[in-house]
Amino acid sequence: MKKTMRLMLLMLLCMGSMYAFGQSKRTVSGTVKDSTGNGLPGVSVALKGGKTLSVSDPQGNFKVSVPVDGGTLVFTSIGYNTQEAEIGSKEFISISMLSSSSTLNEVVVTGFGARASTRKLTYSVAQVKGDEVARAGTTNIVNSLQGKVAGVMINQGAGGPSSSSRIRIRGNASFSGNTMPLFVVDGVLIQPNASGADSWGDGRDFGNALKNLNPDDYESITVLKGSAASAIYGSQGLNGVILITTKKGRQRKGLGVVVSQQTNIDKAYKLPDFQNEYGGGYDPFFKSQDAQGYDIVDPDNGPYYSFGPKLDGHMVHDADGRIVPYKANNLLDLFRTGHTYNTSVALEGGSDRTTFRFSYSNLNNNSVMENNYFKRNTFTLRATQKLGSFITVDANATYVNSNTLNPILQGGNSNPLFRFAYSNSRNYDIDYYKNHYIDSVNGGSIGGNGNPTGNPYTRNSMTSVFWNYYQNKTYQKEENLRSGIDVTATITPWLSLLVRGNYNNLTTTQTTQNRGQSKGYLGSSASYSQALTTNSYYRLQALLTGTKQIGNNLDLNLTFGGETQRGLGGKSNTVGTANGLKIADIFTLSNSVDPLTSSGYTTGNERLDALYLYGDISWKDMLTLSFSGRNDWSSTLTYPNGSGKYTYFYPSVGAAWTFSEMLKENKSFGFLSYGKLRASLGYTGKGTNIFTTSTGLGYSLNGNYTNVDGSLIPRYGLSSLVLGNQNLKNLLAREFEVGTELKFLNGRLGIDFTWYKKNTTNEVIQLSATPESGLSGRIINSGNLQNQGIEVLLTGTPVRSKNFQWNTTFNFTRNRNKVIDIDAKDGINTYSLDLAFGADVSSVAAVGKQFGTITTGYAYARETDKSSKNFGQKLLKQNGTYWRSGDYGQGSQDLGSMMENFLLSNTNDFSYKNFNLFVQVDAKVGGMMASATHQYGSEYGSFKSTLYGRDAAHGGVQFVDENGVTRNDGVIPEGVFGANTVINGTDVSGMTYADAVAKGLSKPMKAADYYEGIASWGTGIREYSVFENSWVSLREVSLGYNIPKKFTDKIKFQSLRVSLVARNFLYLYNSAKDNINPESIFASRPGAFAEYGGLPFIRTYGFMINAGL
Amino acid sequence: MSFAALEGCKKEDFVKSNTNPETLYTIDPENEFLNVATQIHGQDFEAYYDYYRRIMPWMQMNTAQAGNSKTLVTDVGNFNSRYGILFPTLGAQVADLNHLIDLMPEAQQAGYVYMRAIADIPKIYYSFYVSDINGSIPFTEAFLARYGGTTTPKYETQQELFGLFDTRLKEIVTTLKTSQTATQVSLGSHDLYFGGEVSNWIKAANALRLRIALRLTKRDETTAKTIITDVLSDANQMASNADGWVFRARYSFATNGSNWDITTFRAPRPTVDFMIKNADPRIRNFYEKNNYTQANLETAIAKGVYPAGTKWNSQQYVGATTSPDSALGKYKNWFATKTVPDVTPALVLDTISYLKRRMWTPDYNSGTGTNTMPVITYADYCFMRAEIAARGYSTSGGSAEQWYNAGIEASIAFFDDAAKKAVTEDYTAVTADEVTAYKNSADVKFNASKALEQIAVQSFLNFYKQPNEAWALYKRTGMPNSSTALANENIVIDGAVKAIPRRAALSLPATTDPNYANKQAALDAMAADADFGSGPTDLFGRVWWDKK
Repeated sequence: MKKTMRLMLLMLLCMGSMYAFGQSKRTVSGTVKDSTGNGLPGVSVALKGGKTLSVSDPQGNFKVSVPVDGGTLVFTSIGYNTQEAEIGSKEFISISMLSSSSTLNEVVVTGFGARASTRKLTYSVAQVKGDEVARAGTTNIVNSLQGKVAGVMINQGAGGPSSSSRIRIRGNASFSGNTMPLFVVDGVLIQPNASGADSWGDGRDFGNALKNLNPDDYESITVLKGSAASAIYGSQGLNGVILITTKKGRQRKGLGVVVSQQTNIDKAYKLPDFQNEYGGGYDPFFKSQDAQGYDIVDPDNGPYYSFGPKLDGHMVHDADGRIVPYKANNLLDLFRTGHTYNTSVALEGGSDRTTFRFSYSNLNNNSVMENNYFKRNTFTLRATQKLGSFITVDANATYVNSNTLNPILQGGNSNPLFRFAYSNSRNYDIDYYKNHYIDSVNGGSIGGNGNPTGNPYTRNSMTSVFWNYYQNKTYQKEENLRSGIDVTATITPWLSLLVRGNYNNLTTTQTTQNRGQSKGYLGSSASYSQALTTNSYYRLQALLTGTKQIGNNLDLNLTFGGETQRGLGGKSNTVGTANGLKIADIFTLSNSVDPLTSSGYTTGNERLDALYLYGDISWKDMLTLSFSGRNDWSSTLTYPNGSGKYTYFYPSVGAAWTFSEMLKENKSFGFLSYGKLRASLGYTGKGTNIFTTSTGLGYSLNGNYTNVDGSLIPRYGLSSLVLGNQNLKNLLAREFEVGTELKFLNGRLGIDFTWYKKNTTNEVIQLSATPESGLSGRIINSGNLQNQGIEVLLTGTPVRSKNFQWNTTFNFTRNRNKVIDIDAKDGINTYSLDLAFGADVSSVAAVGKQFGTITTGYAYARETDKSSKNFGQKLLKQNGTYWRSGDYGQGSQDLGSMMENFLLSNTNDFSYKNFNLFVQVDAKVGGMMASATHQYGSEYGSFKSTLYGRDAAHGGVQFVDENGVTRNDGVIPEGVFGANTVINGTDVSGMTYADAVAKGLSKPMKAADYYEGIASWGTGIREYSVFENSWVSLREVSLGYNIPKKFTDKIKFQSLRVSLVARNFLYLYNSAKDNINPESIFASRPGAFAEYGGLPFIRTYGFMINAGL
Repeated sequence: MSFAALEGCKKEDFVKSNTNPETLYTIDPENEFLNVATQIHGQDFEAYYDYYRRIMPWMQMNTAQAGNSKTLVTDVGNFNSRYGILFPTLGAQVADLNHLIDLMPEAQQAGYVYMRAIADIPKIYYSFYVSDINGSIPFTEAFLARYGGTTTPKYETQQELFGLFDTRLKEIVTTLKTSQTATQVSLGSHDLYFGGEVSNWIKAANALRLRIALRLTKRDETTAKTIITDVLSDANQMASNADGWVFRARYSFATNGSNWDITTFRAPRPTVDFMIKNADPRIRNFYEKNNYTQANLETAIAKGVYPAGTKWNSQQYVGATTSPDSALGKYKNWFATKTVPDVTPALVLDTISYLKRRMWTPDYNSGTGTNTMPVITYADYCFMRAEIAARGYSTSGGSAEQWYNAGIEASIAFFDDAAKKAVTEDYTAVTADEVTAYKNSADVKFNASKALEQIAVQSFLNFYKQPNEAWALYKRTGMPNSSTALANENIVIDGAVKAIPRRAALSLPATTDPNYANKQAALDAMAADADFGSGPTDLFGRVWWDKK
């Protein structure tokens, strides 16, 4: 801290001396802004009739020397109308530039919050306006970007409103467990975590830091991809940067008040394709009747399997003894209508020297799940102030508190959707049992430990779903303070200094109250725990920027800067009750049966320092050469013994050529309104994770061992069995990118095309090792991971008339994420990324294959002898179930990659007078997913696909079963018997099952047996439930209406807008088997590819009103 | 200017940032010994697959709920957990215990002579257990990569391994019997088996030598005999159940709501019938009575499920047929349940008994008892001695009959104690009369002409919670089988008697495995023996000791 103070002092000292220097002349300073109130860079400032004096800096500030008697300043910039301003006796001039053409003046936020004309950019960049994001009304800002930007892939989180979504820019540039881009909000760096469930899908997803971002406050969002991002943001920008600029106050008379209110309604509108034709049982007929003549639902299988009799609604004697209509349940009954209310009030104002904006937003979401809410309060203040003639201060502070209760258990046995597919028949009476799972006499759940039940519908596995749903509560509260201050000093007409400091603090408190399921609401399931995690860091940055026009044709921008980022350390502490609570329903630590369990650790304080130089030189606003060089010092590459090569340098170069400038006088190119070519080459260096260099070093406390008598012994052991590496070096990525931007017909048709290739080398990863050597893994600098792809953005304005305009865009993204090398020298060519179904299926990075190749030893075993007539046939065991590849000696089989082939989206913006209609359709084509719901739901006959073979109408074969019953639910499995299969003395190896049936050796399988075989935990083929995940979604339809001025004037409003929106409206196409929800992947980790229940399909309707006073 | 200050920052600050304050740079070596025991016993996945669903049904120690399926002897998915338990974790823990001692000053090391010796006993036991169904494994060069040793350890053949195990165990016994000048640091409470009691470890090591030697009898009887004679020349032998090498754990260690859950497994008919016939008092500790109580039957009659006058069968221990053909054919209806309608709480009558749930997961039905997990019990030891005497390997120290009877008594007492500790729901203490009666019952009373069979049958019963030993017994002696007094069924599938698997299906090393050369060489060497089977994955093939 002391060192930091010294550094600050030093910086202030520098500024002080400059001030003295500034006083010696008659200078005028000022700001050039665009119509949105943001600074405009690169605007020439000249004295009328004279030569250019200065060019505005990246924040739009300028400073010029003028004659003491004043004069007139002329501001010029391509794409803007020239503006003039009388100097008079002013020391400060604020000017707004109006655009002259919509095609040439695009200015985007790039680097460190600076703004640049797109003409000068040597790389592809995309900007999304804040109101486009706010319009979507999603609680998670990431979801609102879906389909909006080429090169960006988004998977919505499957765990309700708080859950994190996966966002991936230009593929995965790293093998690590998190390839999400860096988010930068007004200079505050936020690296979102991947979150979600483990490989059983069992977990509540409280999401990541992004849920504390409030889109209402955002002016714009810029997506920096590839080296464009990392050239400036360095290693943290390896996976791209999402740059968010908050709104500023504007210069205006009086106080502006903007109020907006949005109400969203979430409807769970659809489930995967559950079948509603057959009910509980294993055989499609009733086996007995009770004394009153009611058919009895088979008590052994009826509650679990849905291979029973046809559901025809007649009254039956259910397995629980109740007389009920025999009909299918509707799981949607368990979900309510969700509501989100988001109310924002913003106050803003400003003079020529001061602006401020204060906003408060309150978001209150009650999701479609009972007992699940997400609430957020956001307070944001942003203020700017000009001090004297050359210092500008821009300060911001955001305080957010969010509160989440019970995100859905995304998978596993307590996820309702999974659990109702798995081992609960279609006639399970949800409406009844959701109110009859508590043992009201004894306390606890019916079927809970100590509450035995003979009713199979209230066995513990089922009631625990309701228990988790209604009785257990986990709260997570987060408090996030993000603040920053930028001090800009315009030292000389061409030189400015920006000093920036940020501070970010996140405190998370999680409280769990689990009600006891055993008798008296007690037992070991009763628990209470508190977890507190804090983390904070600061960042201090200084940038010295020179902007100079050399002669009349050359513009030079050069920035020299440096920063330090330092973690301030954080703690994570958990304390909880052990072995139950003494008194039921009292959730305090003192109520613990056994001594409290606790754990705690420090999160560490990583440090990164950097120095950089970057800039560009432009000739005639036509040709720009850009360059950057950055050197980092990363604590993560140092070793506790003081060694380690912890510093690394990486450069970039680029060029942009607006060739249309040369053609503009040429009539034959009149159709071309804008044309630019660009190319860039950039490198990115990166350290590794904190403490990775200490991997394998030392010991840790691994909880306690509980002795027979309940006493505890602390368990100490090796912190890991991984072999460390004393010579780790930095990651280095190299990206080459070329592209073009073309605009035709006065900008009505545009194309932006990019091709890129990025190779990441030397990433520090942990590989598995030979277990016999006593190691579970070792740390290495890995080989080479490549991403190569194209991005195409087509924009068009098919109709542009006085009252009606139609703008349309197409975004196309294709990325190939190929593994070139992992550890060739040691012969390792596979790296495990993620797991599903426990460890049955995994996604791996394998050399020569796509990232995220899905592989399993539970694939079909197939005949591999190419000379055999059975080549490629699935192999059967004697009983008609399939051989698993692993059990048959064929090992793991690759089933394809989870990565999509391409993404395509289309947005349409129609405006007619005061109406505005927006329609977005987006599509993902290709890529596989795994579904545990499909697998285990198939085992129990819950899904439509299992209707096949149930009866003659569904392809069932007639046969006589072992009890002499003639039935027509026979299935002849496809495939041939494996080697050495003997049935009743006959060797049937290589024979098809159909032949064996024809020869009387086998019987057709009962449909139930067939699905049990192909999809059960013990014998199932996981390949059966790994399938293509392609979809086309009608993502958003919104209609807005600006109330006419003459009406708003009457009610003394400055503006009034109402809009309606529908989000995630419909899947126009879904390739998933049985219509499994394609957006239900249970984690946002890069390799995650599986669902385990998730939520039903949910669509959102919203109504929004915005009023300016 | 100001950046000079940045660049000037010393590397120490960065190093400090990247030094984990939570890291402990050393621990006491005995901590690793605690980890060894929990690593050996805390394996629910092994329980789920290797035991409940593979070895136990093969050995007719249980059956699946609806009877064994036709894939009984061919389904081996997820079998052989033990390999991954030893490699790398268990071995690394022992290696680290030694490493921690190595780091000490020499004078201090002198106090750890016993600890080093003791730590090798479970390591050898487990290596033997892994080799038992895998054949060749790395031992000498294994687990040392962390300390500068090879990352590609070579494999030793089972013959070499058995030699190494025996030599080392003998050495350990000698070491532990030798008094040390330096005061020895006790494992104390970190020894979850014996609380650090050295004399117990000597006895355990001797018992382990006997167990290995008996495996060897089939392949190399001479060496086996030499070892046995050598072991028995030592005075330190197990003498009571208190000497048994047994892991006891709180109910929370292996819980019913997890992979440890054994609730759906049926009692096997051959064993149940034998126990009923000879009034084996252990039956109540091994199996649950079915729910055909007299009261329940009366309810069922009242509700018309059974005709009036149906006679109650007081024998509520009913075993399930173990052969798939019988389970799916003749005895199929035994597995069917009968639901008595319209009674609260609901009543589903189920004929066949289940395994005693709390003996496996004491927390079943809110139990809070203790779990007993045997390694080598005193009863095991007695039956080994009985066999040794009966085979004439050594006749000193007692006759086959004496050891046989001692084994029966010890076994009954052991399971009585285990059931009591597990707080089984209907625990009833065993009486001396019951034991006496049992020892004198038809199939149990010692008969010199049937000694080996009787010892095998009693060993088999005694291995109720040691499926691997029951399996090894069968592979070694062929007993019990369909013609022994405890007559296991032939496993008949589609009319054909099926062989029982004899070893793990060994995986083929991937060519990209860093240790490919050594693994492949080991497989090739094993395959040189025709008994090894048709290939590494042939589970009907045999490891070295299991000579045809």
